Amino acid sequence: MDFAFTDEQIAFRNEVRAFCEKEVTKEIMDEIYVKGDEHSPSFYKKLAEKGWIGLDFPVEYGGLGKKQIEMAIFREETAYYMAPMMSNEINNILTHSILLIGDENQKKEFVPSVAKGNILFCMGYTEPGSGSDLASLKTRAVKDGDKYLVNGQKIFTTNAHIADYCVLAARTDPQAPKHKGISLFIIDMKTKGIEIGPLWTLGGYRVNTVYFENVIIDESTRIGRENEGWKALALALDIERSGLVYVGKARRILDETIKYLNREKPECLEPNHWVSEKLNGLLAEVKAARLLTYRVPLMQAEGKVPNGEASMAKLYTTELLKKVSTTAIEVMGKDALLTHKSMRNLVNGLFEENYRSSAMGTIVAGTSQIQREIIAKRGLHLASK
Amino acid sequence: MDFNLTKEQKMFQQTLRKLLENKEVEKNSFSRDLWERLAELGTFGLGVSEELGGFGDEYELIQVTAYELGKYLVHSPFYETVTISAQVFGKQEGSVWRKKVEEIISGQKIISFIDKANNIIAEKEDLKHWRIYGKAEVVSFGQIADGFICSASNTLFYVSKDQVTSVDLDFIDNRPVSQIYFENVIVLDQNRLSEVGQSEKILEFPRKLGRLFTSSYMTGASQGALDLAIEYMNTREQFGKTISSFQALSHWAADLQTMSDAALLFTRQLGWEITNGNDTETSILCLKYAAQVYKNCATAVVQMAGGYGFMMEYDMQHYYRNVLGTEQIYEAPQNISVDLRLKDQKEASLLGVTI
Repeated sequence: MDFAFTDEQIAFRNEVRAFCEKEVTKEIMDEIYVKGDEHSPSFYKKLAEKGWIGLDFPVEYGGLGKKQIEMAIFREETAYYMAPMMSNEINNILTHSILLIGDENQKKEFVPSVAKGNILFCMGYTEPGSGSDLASLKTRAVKDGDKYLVNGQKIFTTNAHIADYCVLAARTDPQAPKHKGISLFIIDMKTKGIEIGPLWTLGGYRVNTVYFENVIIDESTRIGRENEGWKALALALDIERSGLVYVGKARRILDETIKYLNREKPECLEPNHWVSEKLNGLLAEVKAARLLTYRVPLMQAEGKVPNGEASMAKLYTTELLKKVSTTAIEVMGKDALLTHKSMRNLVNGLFEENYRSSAMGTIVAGTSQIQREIIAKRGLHLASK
Repeated sequence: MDFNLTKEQKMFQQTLRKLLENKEVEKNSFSRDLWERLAELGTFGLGVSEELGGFGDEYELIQVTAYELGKYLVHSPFYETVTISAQVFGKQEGSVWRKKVEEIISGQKIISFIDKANNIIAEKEDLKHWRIYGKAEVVSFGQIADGFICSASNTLFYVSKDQVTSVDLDFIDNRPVSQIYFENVIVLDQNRLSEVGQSEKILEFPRKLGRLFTSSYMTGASQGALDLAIEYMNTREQFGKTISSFQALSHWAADLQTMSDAALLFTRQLGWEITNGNDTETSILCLKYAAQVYKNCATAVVQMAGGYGFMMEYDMQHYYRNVLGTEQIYEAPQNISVDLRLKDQKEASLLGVTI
C-alpha cells in the first residue's frame, strides 16, 4: 500500500501549479466568460509550448509519453485553477481514439499537429435522439466507391464553431446490431454541406447543432475498420469518466469558501458551528472522492479496465461538485451569487459561474443515471430480469 | 502509489476471514472464544512496539482487522483494549505496565476505557494517593473488563475491576455495556498514566488509532450490510421479476456501493498515513465519512428488504441497531472536527505529498 506521489510526480504537480498561477489570468477568464467559448487560443498556445497538449501521447508522435498518473495530476491541477481546458480534453480523448484504431498515416498526420496545438477537434457523437443511448445514433455514412455520403445531425457539440476537424460517429451498417454498425471519421469542418448553429448552455458556454447534408468525404478519413468505431468511442467515454476534473474544481471551491469565511465571517468556522460542520463534511467527501478518482488511472496503469470504478468516480465527483457549489453559496450568502460582470463579486464570479456550470457534469459523458446503471450491472452484478 | 493490500496483508486478511467464517459468528455478539482466537492470530499486537512483544507499526493491519470484524458485525473490546489501553500502557515506564501490555497481546486481559465525557472527578488524597469518585454512564465491556483506563479530571488512571461497582445495562445492539460507580476509589499515584490534567496529550495517538479502528469497522459493516441487500435484491421477486431490476433499488445500491468503496480507500489511506506519520486531519475526516456512509447503508438495507428488513429473523436489523451503537460508544464523529480557522489561507484542501 502506498498513498504517496513520487518526487517526480510532486515536482510535476508543482510545475503545473506554478504554470496555472501565472497563466490562468483574470484576462483569460474574462475572455472565456465573454466569448462563451471554453477555449482560449492564447492559453492553449502556452499549453502547447510546454508540450502538455501531448502530455500522454507517445514520444514518436510528438508527445511527452507520460503515464496515467501524470495525466491525472495534470487534469486535477488545471481544473483546480479553473483553466480553460475543454479543448484539451476533447483533443486528448479523440487523439487517443486515433491512436487506438487509426492507421499509421492518420497517426502521423494528426497526433503531432494536435500536440503542437495546431488542430482543434470537436466530438460528433451525440444526436438529438441519441444521448444516453449513444449507440442508437442515426447519422448515416453511405459508401459510394471510395467516398462516403454523410447525412444527419449532431447536437451539444462543443467547439464545433472553432474546430478544424470533427471526429464523427456515423452508422455505416443499419442492418447490424446497433453497436456493430458504427464507424468513425475525421471530417474537415470546412467540407461543403456542414452547417453549424449555436446553442447556449446554463453554464454560459456555447455548444452547437451540426447538420451534415450530403457531405462527401473520402474513404481515407475513416478511422479504423468499417463498422468497428464503437470500441474507440467507448474508450473516449472511459477517459471522460475519471472524475479528476470535478474533484479539482470541488477542492478549489471549498478552499475559496474557507478562505472567504476566515476573512469575513470567522465565527462561522468555530468548531461545532453548523457552517464549520458542513464544511468538515465536504472536506471529508472531497478527500474520499479524490481516492475514487485516482483509483481509475492506477487501475489503468496496472492494465486493468476500470469499468464500474470509472463510473463510481464520475458519479460521485460530479454529484459532489454540485453539492460543494451549492453549499458554498449557502454558507457565504448572496454576494457569492454576483456574476463576473458585477462589482463586489467574489473571486471574479467563480461561485456563481461554477454553480451554473457544475450542472453539466452530471449530464455529460453519461448521466448520473447511466453511471448508476453501469455500477449496478457491471459492478454489483445486479440481475436485470 | 498503490491502493491495494500487499501480498502479506492479503494473506492476513484471508486467515482472519476464514476464522470468522469458521466460527459462524453471531452478529452483534461478543464471544470470549473468538477473542482468544484473535489473540492467537496476533491481532492484539498490531501497533504495539516489538520491544513490548508486539508486531510494530502494523497500523494498516488494524484497518484490515477492523474492516473484517465490522463486516461480520463482531462485538469486541478491540478499540478499548488494543488501540487505547495497549498504547497508553506502552508509554509507561516499569515492568508492571509492560506485563499489562503482554497480557493484552496474549488475550488474557480485557481493559475498558472511560472517556472524559463522564465527568469522573479525581482529587489528590495525599502525596501517594488519589481519590476518584463519580459515575460513568454507558461503559462498553465494563462488566467483563479486568480493569479500566479512566479519564478523571483530565488525568488518566488505571483502576482495577475490584475497585469499582458495575451494573449491567441493556443496549440497543446487545453490546455488553454497564454503569460503573467510582465510590471514593483510592488509587495509588503510580497508577496515574498521564501528567496531571494532561490526559489528552497521551491519548492523542491512541485516539488516532481508535478512529482508524472505528472508521474501518464501520466501513466493513457498511459493506456487510450492502452484501446482504444485494443478495436479497437478486433473489426476491415481485411483479414477476427480481427486485434488483427496479432502478429505484439498483441505483440506490450503486450510490451506496460507491460510498462504501470510497470509505474503504479512505480507511486504507488513514492506516498508511498513521504508519508514515502524516495523518494530520485524516483520522477525523475519515471517521466522519465512514460514520455517514454506514448510517446510509444500515438504514437503506432495512428499507430495501421491505417488511423482511424489519423482521428480527433477518440480518438487516443487526446493522440498523449496530450503527448508532458503534458511533455513540466510541468517539462520536459529531463531537470532533477539523478546526478550519487554522487552515492554510491559500489552499485548505491541499493534501500535500500524499493523495
